[in-house]
Amino acid sequence: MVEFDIKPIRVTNEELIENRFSNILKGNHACAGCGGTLAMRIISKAFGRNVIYVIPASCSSVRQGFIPKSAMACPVFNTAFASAAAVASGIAAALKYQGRDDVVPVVRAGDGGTVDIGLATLSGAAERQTNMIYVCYDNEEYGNTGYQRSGATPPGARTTTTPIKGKREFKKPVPVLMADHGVPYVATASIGYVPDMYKKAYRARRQIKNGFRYIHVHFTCPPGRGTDPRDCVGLAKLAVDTGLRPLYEVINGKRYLNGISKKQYLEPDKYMKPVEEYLKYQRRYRGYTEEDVELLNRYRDRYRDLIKRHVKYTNPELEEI
Amino acid sequence: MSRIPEGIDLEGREERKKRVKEMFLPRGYPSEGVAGKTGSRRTMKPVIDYNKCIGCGQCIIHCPEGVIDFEIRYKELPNGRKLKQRIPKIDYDYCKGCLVCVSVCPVKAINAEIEVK
Amino acid sequence: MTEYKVLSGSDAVARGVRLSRVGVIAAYPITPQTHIIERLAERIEAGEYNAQFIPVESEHSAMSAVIGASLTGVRAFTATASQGLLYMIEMLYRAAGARAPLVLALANRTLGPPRNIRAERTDLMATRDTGFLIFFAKNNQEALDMVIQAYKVAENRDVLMPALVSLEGFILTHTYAGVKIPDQEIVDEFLPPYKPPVYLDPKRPLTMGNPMPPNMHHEYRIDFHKRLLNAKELIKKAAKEREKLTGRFTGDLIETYMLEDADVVLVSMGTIAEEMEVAVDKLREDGIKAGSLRVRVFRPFPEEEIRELLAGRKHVFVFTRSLSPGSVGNGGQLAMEIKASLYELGDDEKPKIHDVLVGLGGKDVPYSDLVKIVKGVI
Ligand SMILES: Cc1ncc(C[n+]2csc(CCOP(=O)(O)OP(=O)(O)O)c2C)c(N)n1
Ligand code: SF4
Ligand code: SF4
Ligand code: SF4
Ligand SMILES: [Mg+2]
Repeated sequence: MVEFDIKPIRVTNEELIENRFSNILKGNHACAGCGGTLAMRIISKAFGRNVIYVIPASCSSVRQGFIPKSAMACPVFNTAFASAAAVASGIAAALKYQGRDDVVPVVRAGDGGTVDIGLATLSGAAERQTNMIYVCYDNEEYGNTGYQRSGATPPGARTTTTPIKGKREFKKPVPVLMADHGVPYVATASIGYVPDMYKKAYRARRQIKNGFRYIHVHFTCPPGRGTDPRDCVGLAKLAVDTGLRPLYEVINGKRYLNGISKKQYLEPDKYMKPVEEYLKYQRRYRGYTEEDVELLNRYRDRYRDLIKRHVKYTNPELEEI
Repeated sequence: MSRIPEGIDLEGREERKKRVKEMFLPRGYPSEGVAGKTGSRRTMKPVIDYNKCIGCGQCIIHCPEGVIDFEIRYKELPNGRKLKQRIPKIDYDYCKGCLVCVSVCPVKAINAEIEVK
Repeated sequence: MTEYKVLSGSDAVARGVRLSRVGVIAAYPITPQTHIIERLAERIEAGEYNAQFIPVESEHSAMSAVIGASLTGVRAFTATASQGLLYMIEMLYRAAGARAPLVLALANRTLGPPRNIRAERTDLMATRDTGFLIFFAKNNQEALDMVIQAYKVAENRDVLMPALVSLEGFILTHTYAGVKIPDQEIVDEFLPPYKPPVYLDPKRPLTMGNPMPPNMHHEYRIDFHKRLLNAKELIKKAAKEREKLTGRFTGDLIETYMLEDADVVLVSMGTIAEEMEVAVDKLREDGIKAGSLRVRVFRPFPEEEIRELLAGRKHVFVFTRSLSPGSVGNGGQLAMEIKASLYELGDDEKPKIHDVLVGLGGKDVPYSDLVKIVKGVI
């Protein structure tokens, strides 16, 4: 595996504010309060200019607007739902052939395009250690087609295809799966913690310069969740604070929990907020039952175990950098 | 802020656009406002109270659309030193009125008002 | 000095790819295409051929990867067969729609079930409406030449569309025959480096394939059709240019044999055409004025050319090795297209068309069968 120097990254607010660069331009077609636009904007600051975006069918293919214009300020290829990581593999190979090693392909896919229809493609590109960055923008549903259930929908959530009882199954632990591919970098991020998200994107682009890098970003989609658009950031933060969406990085096989998630891991009783706090703001959980809460708690524990197994295996001290 | 980033090769851009049009290639070029002036569809309007604003920049960071730009001003302090101040400015042409800025402002300096057209 | 070698059809295609200086190859194995990609991967690994090989995890990804490479400005190639082709078909439409001039080699194979790996062309027919240029080889020599010609035409700035080179599985891919290998310099002169008008480049950002308003999209589709039809002239031009370089004229839209005075015309594509020529000789020996016509380029379809050549003939036998069940006539797609091409002829000029299915499931098609079929009718 590639060895590299990992240095802590400090992100100041100054940096985030004064970096005016963005790949997504204003006046686009996204809904008001779309957390995905926020994530794209922040992540593009960290990635910089030398990227080629690959976007499979998702909300993001729509927000770009109509030809001959586009709301994207970087080169983009819009591709079929299941094909993104493979298209990026082709771009990576072409860049290598041309000797343009300052440019990196970036996939910007939704959760459906990542954990469901595109999973084989994603896994293939990771297994080949393709030089690319894959960012999954997880709104926990098929947003573009009207908020249906996806493999990333959490238990208990009502969607347009699980409208009455809500989803009964767990969310697919794809970041864990990606870490098991032995790629140099895997991270989970949330728009509730913007500096942390920026830091991870920065690390993926500037510190780890080679190999397959995967970032899983959780964000809120107001129409899909049935929430007030203004809560978009606050809710994402609650998802982390209730322990449902732990923030961690796996660098070269070693797992590091970040910030609040680390504290929750060490002292769950003290730092883990009850899941109900997160549920009550969302229409997709309206009238949630005891059973739903129990299911979510079980899901949370299981996810913790998954991480624990990994942590024990690689890095017992749980140090954070 | 969202604007066409610096450093891109604008030279020959019109020429390339023309070529693409002639060849009828399905290609789009970076432009602001692909969905028109998105501000016109707003029902609520964020208004910054500059008396309360401390220039922390949280709204600038968290605005999904990136429509809050800022100006830097230096305020003369009694001891003669200059204090750097950031003055946020909302671009109402494109602000979608989601009010995320209102929710993240630590000092409640942004008010949500009903949009009157 | 032109090299002369005994090559299998697969080797010939691989040679064509190397001579075209393809930079990115992505492929997934399926019989009978395997030898093509094995040869290429081997040359690359041995360091004799400068290209990137991506061993993708599916055909869908193979086509996706070569689209990515092509739009980044590198000449790209993939190959498949049968089930693999159907698995990638979503991306075929995308390659055409995004205007990526890559080349796909198809080793025809029957679609199952029942399982069968021998050559039938129903797989190819699934690509009829994709917007690909479609070439069909009759022998190993042509397979090599066609790959080079396909890039030449596909990359033309008035076209910029992907191309497919079809050759029958086993009958060509696994059979050895003498092939003239053109010199690299000659190929380089014929096929200059690939320079797309715009490509994925952070210095010149542009978005490919975002939504298009319906009015414009309608126009775009019509324009696409016209451009593909205009490629006919470019194919002919490419053939002439090549003749100047190699002294051989290969690469027109159609190829004819003893057609001038023929009353009875045998029509087909690919290897069946070679059997047709023998059949024509036999029929002539028996006093039947026969001739043959081979469709070499299936898309753009040489409609006018065929109409002109078949006007006034008495009988036209179209031998098709593919089937569209439940469609018109006997269900042979080639026959349908020929019939449609001749519709505009006056009654006195219209030949009688016989839609004959041959060699489905890879069944042999010897010339004697063709002779028998023709004699059974007239
Ligand atoms: C092969 C295929 N199947 C289905 C669709 C329809 N489709 C387009 S986007 C989409 C959902 C996308 O969901 P996700 O990847 O989570 O992205 P989001 O819209 O939520 O951002 C679906 C089902 C498609 N475009 N292609
Ligand atoms: S549906 Fe959801 S994810 Fe899609 S643009 Fe709207 S808010 Fe964003
Ligand atoms: S209301 Fe929304 S779009 Fe408008 S400035 Fe505030 S955060 Fe930005
Ligand atoms: S978040 Fe509030 S205090 Fe901070 S800059 Fe914006 S308006 Fe001013
Ligand atoms: Mg989604």
